[in-house]
Amino acid sequence: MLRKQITQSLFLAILTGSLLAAPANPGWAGNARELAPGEGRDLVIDNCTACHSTRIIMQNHMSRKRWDETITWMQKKQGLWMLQKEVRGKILDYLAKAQGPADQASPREHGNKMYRFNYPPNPL
Amino acid sequence: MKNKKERGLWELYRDDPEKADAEIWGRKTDPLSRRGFLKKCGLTTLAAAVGSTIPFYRHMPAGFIPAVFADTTEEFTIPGTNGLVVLNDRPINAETPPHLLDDEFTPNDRHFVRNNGLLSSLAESGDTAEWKLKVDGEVHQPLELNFEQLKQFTSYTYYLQVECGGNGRAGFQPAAKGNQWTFGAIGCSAWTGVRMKDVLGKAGLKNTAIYTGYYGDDRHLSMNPQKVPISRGTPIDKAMEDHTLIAWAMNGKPIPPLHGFPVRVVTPGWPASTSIKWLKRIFVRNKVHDGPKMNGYSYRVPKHPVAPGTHVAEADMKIIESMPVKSLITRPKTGIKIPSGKPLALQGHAWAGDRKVTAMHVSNDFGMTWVQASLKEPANPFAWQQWQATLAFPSKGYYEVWARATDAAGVMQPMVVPGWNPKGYLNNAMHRIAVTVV
Repeated sequence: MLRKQITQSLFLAILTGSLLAAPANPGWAGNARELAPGEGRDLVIDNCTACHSTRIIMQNHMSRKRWDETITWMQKKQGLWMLQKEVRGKILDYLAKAQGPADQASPREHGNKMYRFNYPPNPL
Repeated sequence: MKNKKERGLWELYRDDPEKADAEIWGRKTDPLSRRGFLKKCGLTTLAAAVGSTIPFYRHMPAGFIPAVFADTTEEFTIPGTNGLVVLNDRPINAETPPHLLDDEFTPNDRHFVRNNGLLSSLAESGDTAEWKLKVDGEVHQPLELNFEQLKQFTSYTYYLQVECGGNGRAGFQPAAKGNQWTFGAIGCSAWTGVRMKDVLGKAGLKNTAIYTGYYGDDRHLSMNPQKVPISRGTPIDKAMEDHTLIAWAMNGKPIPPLHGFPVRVVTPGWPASTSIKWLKRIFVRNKVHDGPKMNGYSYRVPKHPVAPGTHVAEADMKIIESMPVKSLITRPKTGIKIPSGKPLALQGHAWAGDRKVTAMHVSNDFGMTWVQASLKEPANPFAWQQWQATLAFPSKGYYEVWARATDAAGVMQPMVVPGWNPKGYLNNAMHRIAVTVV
């Protein structure tokens, strides 16, 4: 019943091509839409969301070097597959830009999630 | 409001991912690798549906909803939870806003959820008949207990604080890697079970036994059945304390699937990763346990304090033991507006890992002056403690109320985020709420 409805509506949607407009349809926006736009985003989705969702990617802001170390750790310890050098490079390009340390400055970033205002201590 | 079609897809996958795969995409699961193999027509359909090719479809695990279909038009809510803020949906990680932790002891649906992997079918089965606990390693008499045999030991019910080692991680600058918990990765529920020391006593510890290693039944994110998502333990002394439990009930009910059904460890006052869920094995070690997430940088902080952002060598890291002193204001909710002239009643909880909290203070002037709160004794060791205070405000305006707990060794919470470390553990800086007097 419910499954049939889903299968039927998906099938219809595919036939009519409406699902090809998925990115523009908020009903099907999904996790993938939350990653900031940028070159290499598709590679990140293809390679980095088989195990975990995009949310852990988006929670983290690191330098390219530390993202690189993180990818190596995932390959060594968590079963991530080998990446072609070019693919890895493009993924790191994306992460360094969209999830780099500089991104912390934007208003939605974590510094403001803990407290409404930050009161930096007096510099030494 | 989610429409029927969107909810249905998620529910379908949650209930039976392999069947969902088969029905919607014609995808069969390879029993060995757990990868989902799409029949050719299925792949074409799926590719058309996502609007692009799927170069790595061979690697896609069975039961995985392609990200583009995972519905996040509104906040993803986790069944069995009530008002939690979701940090991650795969694996599921969610924390409780402080004002929803106001209950004296944390109800099941308000306890934070932390997962390193995916739930096994046993977790959601509601059935204890097949469950077994192995106790082996440095013991004279290895044990294999079923649920009924476990219940033969004397049972105890304790209110026990369970806090994620990374609670507060979001406060670190530069950012630390991992789930960005703010204040809500803490709970104190009533746990019922047997003492770890009684089970280990039955097995008989050899004098070479120095550490425990706990194994749970969660599934690795990669779906590789050989990989263990997490296996941590503690020095044997901590395991042998009266309040370290092998628990089967949370607030008097069977432990919910996400919290470790049917049986879990509760190691109160230490990082919650030592409270392994879906327990199936206790491996008593003659050395520090070396399961996944015991090593490297996991649950470790620098041996010597470092400047923020420093790269620390693995050899210079030490394992976290007791959590530090901390507190929360659970009432009122931050952002409250109150009429001028009336004092404000505040309340919350305080805890300090292995130690007791001996004093609680609040301030509404950036810590220039402090008012002492009344502080209750813990219901039992390792329970959090309730506190209450009243604050008067000198005039209209915007204020912050800061809350500071002091532990039995005289150690207070810091005002700023303390002790930067690579993975962002142990941020016990004071909780602050915003109050506007109108």
